[in-house]
Amino acid sequence: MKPQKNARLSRRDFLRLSAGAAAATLLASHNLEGAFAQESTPIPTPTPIPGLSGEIVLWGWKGGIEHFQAAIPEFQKLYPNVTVRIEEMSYEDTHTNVLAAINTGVGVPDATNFDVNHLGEFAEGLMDLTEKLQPYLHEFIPVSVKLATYKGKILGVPQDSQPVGMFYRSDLFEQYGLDAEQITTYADLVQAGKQVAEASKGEVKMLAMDVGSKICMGDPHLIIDLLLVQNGLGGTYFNREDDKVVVDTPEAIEAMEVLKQLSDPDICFLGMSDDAAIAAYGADKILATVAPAWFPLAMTGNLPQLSGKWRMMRLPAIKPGGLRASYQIPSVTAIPKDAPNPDAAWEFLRIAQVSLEGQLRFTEATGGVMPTWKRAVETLVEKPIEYFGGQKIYALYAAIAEEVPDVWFGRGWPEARSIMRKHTETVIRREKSPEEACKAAAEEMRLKLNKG
Amino acid sequence: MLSAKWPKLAPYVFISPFFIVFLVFGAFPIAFSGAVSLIDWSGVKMGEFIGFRNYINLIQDPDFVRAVLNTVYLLLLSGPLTIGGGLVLAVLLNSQLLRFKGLFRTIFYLPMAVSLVVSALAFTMLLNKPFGLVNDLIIRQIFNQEPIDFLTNPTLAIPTLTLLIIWRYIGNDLVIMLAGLQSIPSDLYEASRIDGASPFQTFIHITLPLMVPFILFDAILTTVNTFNLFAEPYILFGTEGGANQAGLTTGLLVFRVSFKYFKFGYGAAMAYLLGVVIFALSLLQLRVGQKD
Repeated sequence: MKPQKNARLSRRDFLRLSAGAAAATLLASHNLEGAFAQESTPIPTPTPIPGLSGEIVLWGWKGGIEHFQAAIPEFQKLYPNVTVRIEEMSYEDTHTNVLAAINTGVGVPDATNFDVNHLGEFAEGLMDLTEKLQPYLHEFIPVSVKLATYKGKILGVPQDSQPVGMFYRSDLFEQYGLDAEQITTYADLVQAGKQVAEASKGEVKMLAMDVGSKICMGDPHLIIDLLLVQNGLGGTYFNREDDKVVVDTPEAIEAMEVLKQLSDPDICFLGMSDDAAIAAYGADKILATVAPAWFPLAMTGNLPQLSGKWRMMRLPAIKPGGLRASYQIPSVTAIPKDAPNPDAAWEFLRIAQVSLEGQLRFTEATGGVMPTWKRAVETLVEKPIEYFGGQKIYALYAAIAEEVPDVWFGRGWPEARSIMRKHTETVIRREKSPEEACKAAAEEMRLKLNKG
Repeated sequence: MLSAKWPKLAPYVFISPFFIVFLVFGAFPIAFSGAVSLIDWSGVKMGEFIGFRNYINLIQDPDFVRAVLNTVYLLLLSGPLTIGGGLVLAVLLNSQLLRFKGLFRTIFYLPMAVSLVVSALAFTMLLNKPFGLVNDLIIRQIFNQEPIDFLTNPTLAIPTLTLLIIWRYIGNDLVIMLAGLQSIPSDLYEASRIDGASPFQTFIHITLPLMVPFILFDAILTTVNTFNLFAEPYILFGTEGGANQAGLTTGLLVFRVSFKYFKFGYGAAMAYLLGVVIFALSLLQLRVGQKD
């Protein structure tokens, strides 16, 4: 099944749609070009735990559980007395049910998927996997482990990896006399956008942004998150200790200033629906978009006619010489503290997700979503990608993932994002200055999340 | 022994299913959420007793104020149109002059039979800018105007939601009003005709006063339903309530706070406070109705 065009396409929608996809045309065969230095530490050969029996129950949504299903035969060779039941539910239901189960202790699954931005909420009900994962940590992309860590404890097994770059239309860049190499800061991008707007009499714009927050990649809340991380705020809205709101710091205000410049109606389509944006991409009206690692597959699914015209570059930096890497929210799999059969659950995860074979199965099942196991990533970057004119985009993604700074999610992150989104909109509508919006957002976050 | 007591016990046994179901699924959740509203319960951690702090925070919460104002605006816009429209349609359908009454009744009630989600999704597609049927065919092709941003323009969020509500619920109001009209004795209309009253005078002096209890009932029902409205704004605008939260309703906010942010104590306090608001509004409507 190929990724389909879908209104309000988000990463989880994409994962759902692409589940069971035939191995994507995007998959390539070339070396990683040094993006990851392989550690020499060998993975220990685990000894099967004797006497494991009973049933394990795993929760997740379509797109994040197929590799579990595929791992059952291998698991049952080692543990024939353990049966595995995978319960598929919607993305929203999974998160709600996890919390209800952890709270009540009723119907607790043995393992469950969730998006890491909920880590702060779920932390107290999850098993600390630090010790169990210790022998395997060098195999994971470091940022994926950092994101699965809350207050020093690793609480989830990383599933997918979502470094973010920028896609641009090479043919249109050429047509408007732009050189992607020369766009190294957001100021350069804005300048280039103005050049395009002038040459096209406002018909063509550099970006698209949706005030109504429905375009997956033009959504201002996503862009401000990326900018905050780029400007040194690894917890986006919170400090490392998760006790202070940081969105009114000079770094955050500077990031918001950049967003204001990007949302200039001269260089950016505002208020577009996602369908309209896809049509506009198809009609050569938009030159660039921010793009996490799952986005290439959405592009090939939605805009196959543009094959060969897109290229990928790093995100521009906020300041000259600044960081050109950022990260979007991935998913993890965790074992609740009250899981009825935690040893069997860990053994299953070890086979299904804490192994090269398991992560390759995940990538295959999703049609090419970037895994978190370094050697599994290598298999994605071996061949040039035709859709991107032969560019080895996964090598670039892998390199970006290596450069992503320390990132984390704190308690109340989803609500903080909602608050930030609301105040970001006031900047886009030019109702408030970046400083006013950031201060208002910080005040509201402090009030609602009881942080300093 | 039991057979001797059975005649006295039997009535209680027979009516007990209702009370058991009500206690388990009605009274207990109401009491439990009342208790939860006094606790700082966020995420996994069931926190401490905080008295009325959740209620105090609610009053200072700009999102809550925004949601209440949006919902009141929606009620003021959609309420008169659905109730008034339902009454007018009922009068027309009750007329002796109209043929195919059953067909019209079915047509007007049909949207109620369509799945809520399906109807909201259909509206999303119809009103899409610029490719929805309304924008592409009506606004652009017929009226030669620029497409209208029904779903992402903050000013149009509540009017757009009103459109969907009228389309979907007017049939329900029609049925209530039709039941009311059919309960009015026909001899009153005959007497007014003999006295030479015009149809308009008959409507104002006979139909309307006698329909007051039904209008009142419908108004209370509409108020309760509007404050609990969830699926329609959720599908049209998402949990954030669209641009500038212009489509954020109280039902949507309770869901968002409780099941997206997992702040159960705060969500319960919100639901309770809304319960009080709905109760006060219903009481007000009853009082006004009784005076009239």
